[in-house]
Amino acid sequence: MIDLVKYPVITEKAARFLENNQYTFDVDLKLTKTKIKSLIEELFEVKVIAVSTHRPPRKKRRIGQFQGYRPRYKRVLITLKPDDSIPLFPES
Amino acid sequence: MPATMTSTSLRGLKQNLVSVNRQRVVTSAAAPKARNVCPSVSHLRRTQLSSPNFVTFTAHRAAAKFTKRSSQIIWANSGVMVEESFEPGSHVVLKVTVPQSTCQQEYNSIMKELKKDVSIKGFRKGAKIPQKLLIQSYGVKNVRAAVIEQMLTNAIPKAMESVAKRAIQDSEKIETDLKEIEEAFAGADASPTGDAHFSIGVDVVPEVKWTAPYRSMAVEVEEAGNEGTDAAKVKLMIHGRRKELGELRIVSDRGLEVKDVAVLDFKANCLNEDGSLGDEIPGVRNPNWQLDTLDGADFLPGIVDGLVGMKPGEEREYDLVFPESWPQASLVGVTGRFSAKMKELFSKELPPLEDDIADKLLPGCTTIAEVEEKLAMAQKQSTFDQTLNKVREALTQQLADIVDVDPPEYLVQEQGRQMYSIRLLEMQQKGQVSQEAMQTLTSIDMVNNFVGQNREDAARLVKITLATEAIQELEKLEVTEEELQAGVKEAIEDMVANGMEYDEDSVKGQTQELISGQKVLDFLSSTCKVDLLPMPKEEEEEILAKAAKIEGEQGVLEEGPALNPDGSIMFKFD
Repeated sequence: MIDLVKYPVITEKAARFLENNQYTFDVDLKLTKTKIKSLIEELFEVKVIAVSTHRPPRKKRRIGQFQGYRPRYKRVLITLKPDDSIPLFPES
Repeated sequence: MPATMTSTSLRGLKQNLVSVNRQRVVTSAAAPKARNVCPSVSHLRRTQLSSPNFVTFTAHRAAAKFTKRSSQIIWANSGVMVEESFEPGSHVVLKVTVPQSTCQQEYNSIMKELKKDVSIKGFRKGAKIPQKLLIQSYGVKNVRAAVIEQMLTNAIPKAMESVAKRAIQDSEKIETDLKEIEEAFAGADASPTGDAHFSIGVDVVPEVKWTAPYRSMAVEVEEAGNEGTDAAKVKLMIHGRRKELGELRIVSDRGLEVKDVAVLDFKANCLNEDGSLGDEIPGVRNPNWQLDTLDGADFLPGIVDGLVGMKPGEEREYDLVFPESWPQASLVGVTGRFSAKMKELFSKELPPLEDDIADKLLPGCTTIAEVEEKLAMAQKQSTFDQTLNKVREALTQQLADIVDVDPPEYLVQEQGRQMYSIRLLEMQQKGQVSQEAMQTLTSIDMVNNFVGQNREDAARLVKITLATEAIQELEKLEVTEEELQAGVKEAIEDMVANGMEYDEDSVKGQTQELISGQKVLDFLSSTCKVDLLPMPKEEEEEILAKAAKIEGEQGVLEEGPALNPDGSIMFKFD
């Protein structure tokens, strides 16, 4: 199941959203918003109140003479219930 | 202190603090109060750091605020609480408490620094980065270490302010284990979770006390010589020089007589109790030993007697017992079999003591009378110098006895190391140690071993140094610039003449020390009571006897001790 969520996105923009208790992930392309909601709720034991998704543009990749594309993914922005949180930075 | 304090009451608090700190006397009852007050000092500081008045106030405060309670002083400076306690060996332990708020400031400033340099994918330079991510990228351990380092570098100078003037350079040491300090920064993000405690040990220049007034020290010194011995020494010198000028003539028609010079192939073996030949005595074998038979008595009694009558080419063996007075204990009482082969035999003729040889005896002189006069002058001066040195030596020793000072461990160690390096240098110059041996000798264990063994000597030397420094200060015996310049110039000329390399600054430092040391000693010799005793009878008689011997046997000489101070000992049993 965890395979469906590829990784959390940590960028300047994502960090900005973190302040609103909004978490960004890249997930499998085929997942729908409902599926994503239940997936996240189950995985991190949190309450999701909103899911926004978008599909970032495909990225070209050339290896020698062959022109191809990077694997596609769906980027989701999940808003959590105010008191919930997801540990993005595990304690070392 | 209530966190909800209004700004007016804050001002009131500040007033209170000033008065607490002005009183400075933290009695045992007041001590806990002062401690409670302290965190709010830093609280104040945080809110009012920008106020210029406050900064000046802090600066003034630092100078004059400590309290003595038995041997403990508690004081605060710029958000650092210090508890000072004195320990034996002029050692001061500073127990430092850095309040959490100060630690937090350090932490924040470190974070700010880290943020500037970091480059993380997905973030532009200088962008706002979640703190956790930042710490993760550096590693929490590294961050903690950086914060602690920053905290220590800021806190130590503040903590040491009170002892800064007296502290011995580089002797300070953090005595707390790093792990204990880390406990104060136990947060998962290395943030401070409590006050940081650590203690610094520092050696301070000890207070010099005197068990007796140094001005009225009294020493008794034996003179290095008197008129009689001076005259005798001059005679010895002239004769020694004459002997050097003497001509050697080959003798072939007779055997060896005392007075002759012989070249011998010489060796010696130990003789076992059953009469068999034992091991060779080390250091004796010499295939070309030039023996002046008159010196024979200096070696082993009877060594010359056994040779009398030998002709060139002759070989002879004879046994001698090492006497009890022999310096090397392992040979005392041992019978040695000495075997000698006479290679050559000379008789020695001395030039007559006439004006012709005056120039050779002492360059620039024309008559024997002149030579004698000049040598007498020189001898008188040297005797005077020797006596003076003896006086100085006696004074320094006395100084060490009357000074009551607890030499700091650091200085003693340093002195010990210095002594060791001087000794090594001497050994190296004599060529006694190989490069490999040198490396083992310079190992830390060896050095520590030496320092441990020679602790007392080192401590005594440190005491003397401290005592002289104290006197110099008390008596205001300052080295003037001209004296220093002259001394430095002289020292440099000397070094250039010897082809040595030098560093002007270090020469200057050494000269300064040298001159000030001399000044103190001069001062002491002028104020203290110095009793000059006549030189010991035996020594006097010995010198006089030597001179008398020369006079009795015309033309028969012994070595002048002044010209040949080592007595030209041909072999050494070591």
